[in-house]
Amino acid sequence: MQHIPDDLWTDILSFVPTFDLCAPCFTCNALREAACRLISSRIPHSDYWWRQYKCLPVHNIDIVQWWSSSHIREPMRQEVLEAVRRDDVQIINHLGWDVNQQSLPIGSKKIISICHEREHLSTYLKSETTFSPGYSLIKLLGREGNLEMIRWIFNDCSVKGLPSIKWPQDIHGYNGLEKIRRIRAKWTYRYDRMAGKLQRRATTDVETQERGYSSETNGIGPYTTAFNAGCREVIQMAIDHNYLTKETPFDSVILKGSEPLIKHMHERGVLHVENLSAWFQRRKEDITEQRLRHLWKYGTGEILSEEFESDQPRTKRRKSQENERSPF
Amino acid sequence: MASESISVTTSDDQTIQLSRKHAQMSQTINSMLEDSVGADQEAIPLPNVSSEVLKKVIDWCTHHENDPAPVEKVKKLNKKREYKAKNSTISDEWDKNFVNAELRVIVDILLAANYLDVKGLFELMCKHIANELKGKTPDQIRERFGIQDDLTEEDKAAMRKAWGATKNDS
Repeated sequence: MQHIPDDLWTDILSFVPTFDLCAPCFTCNALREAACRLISSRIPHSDYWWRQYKCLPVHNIDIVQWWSSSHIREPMRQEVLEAVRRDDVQIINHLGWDVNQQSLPIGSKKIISICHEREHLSTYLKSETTFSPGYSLIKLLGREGNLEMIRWIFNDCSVKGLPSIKWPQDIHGYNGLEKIRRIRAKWTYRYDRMAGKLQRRATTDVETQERGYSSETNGIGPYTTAFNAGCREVIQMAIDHNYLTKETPFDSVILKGSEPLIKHMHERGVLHVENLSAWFQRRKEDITEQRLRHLWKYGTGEILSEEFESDQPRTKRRKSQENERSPF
Repeated sequence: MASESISVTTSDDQTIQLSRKHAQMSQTINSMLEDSVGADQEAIPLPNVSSEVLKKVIDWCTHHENDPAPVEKVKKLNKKREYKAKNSTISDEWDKNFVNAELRVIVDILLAANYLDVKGLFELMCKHIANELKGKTPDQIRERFGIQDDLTEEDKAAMRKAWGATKNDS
């Protein structure tokens, strides 16, 4: 086999994530130099890339054993979390079960069940700071978008394959919900971005795992957040899978719903009539205003006054004049 | 009018005909053609490419002849405000089968793609080799690619320090 010339290693390693550049750094000079050059170019805000913390690879037990035995450093939480994400119990056993609340949103049922068996969850639940980390837990849940995990943590309904846990009152209590709602308001803007991932993950979950929970909900779930963000795809998915029915207590969030989403849900028969009328009562002024604006913008000459026309930008005015002239 | 096919001579003295469209996918051959406009149409010598490898390159060019020109992608930042690695996913099924070959052949195609300056093919080979590297220990990489360990103990100690940096150090 011909040798790969030194200068080509930079092109090859440019496709390798930073944590995977660790092993090449210990292979030979050519690979080390190419890897170091790339790491340096990928950390643009540091003149000292070698002082920056870098996650170590956890692809398989061989590579983990290699860096453990090479005394590079002790495993840190990032590596454990990456192993949790990869659902590799063997590696977690090797690294140590430094699992915490961050593992919950990203962990599989297998990992969570082992955590439960090892009493990590009960330790977590008993800790005094149980709900103070709730904010980051919720953020993580949203970022990961694992529907089953969200339902398990917030809905207190038994999810098949997960241990039945009595969550602290704070999570389900009124105060907890209020906190969640406040956080959710901040959280919502990120949901447009998350929604795609959420939908993908949820679809996979539904396809690959047997549904083991009921459609009952206490109103806190991914779809309420999706609803606030106006994400129709996630709402449709929730309707398709019976997560969202007429009985879903949606009244607390319904008022914030946008008109197209409300219409979409109403057409699919998942809005309780009381919720719908509450939304309408609350929004009728807004709707009237919105409709008027719509007419104002695209309306006929009877509505448009001369005064208004003169306020419009020149291009728009010319376009509307052209439209008037056009027989089509 | 320019002829529709071009002759090239490979390192093992074989003369191979390739279409002008495929020839133009190689920046190297393209430059040679531009330089030889008006000259007698002799076979273009490719001393660094064997006929076996050139046939593979032509196969790839045939499959990708209608692809749009590759666009230079903008580097993306990750959550830690660091530039991400390029995406190494090989999405085309045909390409997946194409790279399903011995490493010797892959390296030969990589070198040929680099010499002929066929960007898409070069990128594909780089992706495949990058994927081969992932998750391998230094010993496994050396064994797979026939590399000698020429690092000194000082080099390794420096790397251990660099990779051992914790969040407190940075």
